Amino acid sequence: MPSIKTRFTYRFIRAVQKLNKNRGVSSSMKETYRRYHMIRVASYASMASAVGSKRAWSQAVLRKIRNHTLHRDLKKKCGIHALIRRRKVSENPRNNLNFHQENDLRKLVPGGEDMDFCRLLNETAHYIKCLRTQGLHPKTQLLER
Amino acid sequence: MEKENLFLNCGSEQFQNFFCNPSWENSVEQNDPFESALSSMVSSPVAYATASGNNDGENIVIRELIGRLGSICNSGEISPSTNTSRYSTPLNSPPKVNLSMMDNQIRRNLQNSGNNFPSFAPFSTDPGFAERAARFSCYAKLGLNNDSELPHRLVPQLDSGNLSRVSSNQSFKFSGSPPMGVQENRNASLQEGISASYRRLGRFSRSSTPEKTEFGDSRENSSVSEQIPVGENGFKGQNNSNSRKRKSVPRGKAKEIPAKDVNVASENSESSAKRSKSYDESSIEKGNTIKADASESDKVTGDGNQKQPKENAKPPEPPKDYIHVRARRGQATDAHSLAERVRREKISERMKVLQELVPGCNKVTGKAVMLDEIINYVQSLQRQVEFLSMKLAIINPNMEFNVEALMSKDIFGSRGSFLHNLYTSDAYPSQSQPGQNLHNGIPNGTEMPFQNGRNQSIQMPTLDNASEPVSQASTFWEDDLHSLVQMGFGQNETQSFHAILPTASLTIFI
Repeated sequence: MPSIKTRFTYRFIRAVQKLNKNRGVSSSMKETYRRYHMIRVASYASMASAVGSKRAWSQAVLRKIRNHTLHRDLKKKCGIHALIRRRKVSENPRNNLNFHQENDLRKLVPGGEDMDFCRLLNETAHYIKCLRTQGLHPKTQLLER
Repeated sequence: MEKENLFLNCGSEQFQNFFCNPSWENSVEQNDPFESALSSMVSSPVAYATASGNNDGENIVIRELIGRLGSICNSGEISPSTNTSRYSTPLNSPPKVNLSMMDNQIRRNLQNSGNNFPSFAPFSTDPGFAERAARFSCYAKLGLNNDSELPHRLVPQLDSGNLSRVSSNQSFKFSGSPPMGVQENRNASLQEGISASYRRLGRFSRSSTPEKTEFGDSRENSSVSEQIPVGENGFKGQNNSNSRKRKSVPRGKAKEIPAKDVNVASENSESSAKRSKSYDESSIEKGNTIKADASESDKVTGDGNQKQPKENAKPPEPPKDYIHVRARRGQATDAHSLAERVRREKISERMKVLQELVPGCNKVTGKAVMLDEIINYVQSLQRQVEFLSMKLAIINPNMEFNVEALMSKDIFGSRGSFLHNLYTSDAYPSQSQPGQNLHNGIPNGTEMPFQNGRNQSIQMPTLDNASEPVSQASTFWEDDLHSLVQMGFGQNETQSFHAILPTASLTIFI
């Protein structure tokens, strides 16, 4: 069973290759920006798919990407289930101990708004681990070549 | 005579008849190898008995029997040694019971024999045996009801259960604790039923022991897991030691029971067993009435308590299906606050995990500061991802990736692929213009454009005004790369390539 790291690297490299194949040689600003955006999305998507749907944050990322490609304007955040969950979470008195910081953290971690604080911490830990591999490992290698 | 029966009748059935207690039959039946071992062991002194005559012979025989019993049990306690290996397996299950039975019977015999010889002289001359005898008395089964020392016997059965629990929690090197694990399941149901009587007996014994005040002091600062050796410590006069002090001490002293303290030690363990039982009761029943009972006599520090919730929540003995959380001293015990506490512990546990993940968080304490650190770290990681993807977008618009080459860096760390890619870098200068422009336009590199999160657009400087610096920059870029290339491709120098090229790219963009 390959590790998350190798799975992510593989997917990411394939995605970037596909990107480079499809795009032209053009080096305009707009093109570069779009490429940047694509690469970033590819990075998060490959990370999330390498993790799978086991984690809430990876599910949220994949959902967001899919919805973004399908309906540019419609955001999944407004789905009815998410609304219900978020309301439950915000009404629960347990979840607002350190109000300010919790909210910030929820905004950072994908899918963090729908969970209670305990689960949020779990997801954050896993998210940090994956972010680290995402940021360090394959990209620096690609850049070195 | 009974003694001669003991020694001369070597069959196992005769042993059983001799002990004549029906409740022991179950355990005794399982011990055929043990029985045979005992019988073989016992049969050898027969030679002594016949050879040397009456009382002296019996004296020697009995002493030898006791010594051998002690040696058996000693070998059972310590990891099975070579010469007693054949005794080790029979000793793994209820045989301790038989030993204690034998112990009682021997004592009774010694007492019944009318003090022909000092009954406890052989005991005291062998301090190791005395120590073992104390332990065996602790491990007696409930079936020893007919014994005259009623409180002494009943409570240690609880003690054995506690010992097994304790040993499972903290892996004490207490003798017999592995065999007690087998007995634990059988004892559990019995223990629930006789808890009330234990408490009564405990109070009774407490009043009877002269060292009661010492126990009272020593109990105040003790925790469940340390109570059994703590008793001995208390006896030795360490009244005022804290629970912290005892944590290091009991482990060393668990095995050292001086010979003369045999009786007191057993009573120590008995009352300590009572107390530990009451502690467990409070954990099981979420401590309403029983806690009141225990609290009036004990005060336990928070330290001692903090060790307990996790440990007491885990022991397998309560036959109920929900999670047991121990109610701490002086805290509310209703369901809400307990659930709150569970949740808080979960959260703190996860914060600890996060603390390890986030670098530089070891000194920080407190949830708020930790959360701040975590948020900062996550933000910086996300920014790094964006920065690197930006770099990728700029540097590698048309570069062909050799997947195998890239992956091989993981596997082989090959330098050939690196060199190959380096050759294609001639394409760099022409396409580095927008990159250079971008660099010139953004003083900070990472901070400004990416500051607003990943969903914001980036402000890009226009190409128009930047023709001259672009050409200069591109030449610089080109020169840099050429210089790198000219450094040679020898094996020794690829290391320096690895070192230099990343820094070169960094200097360009930062």
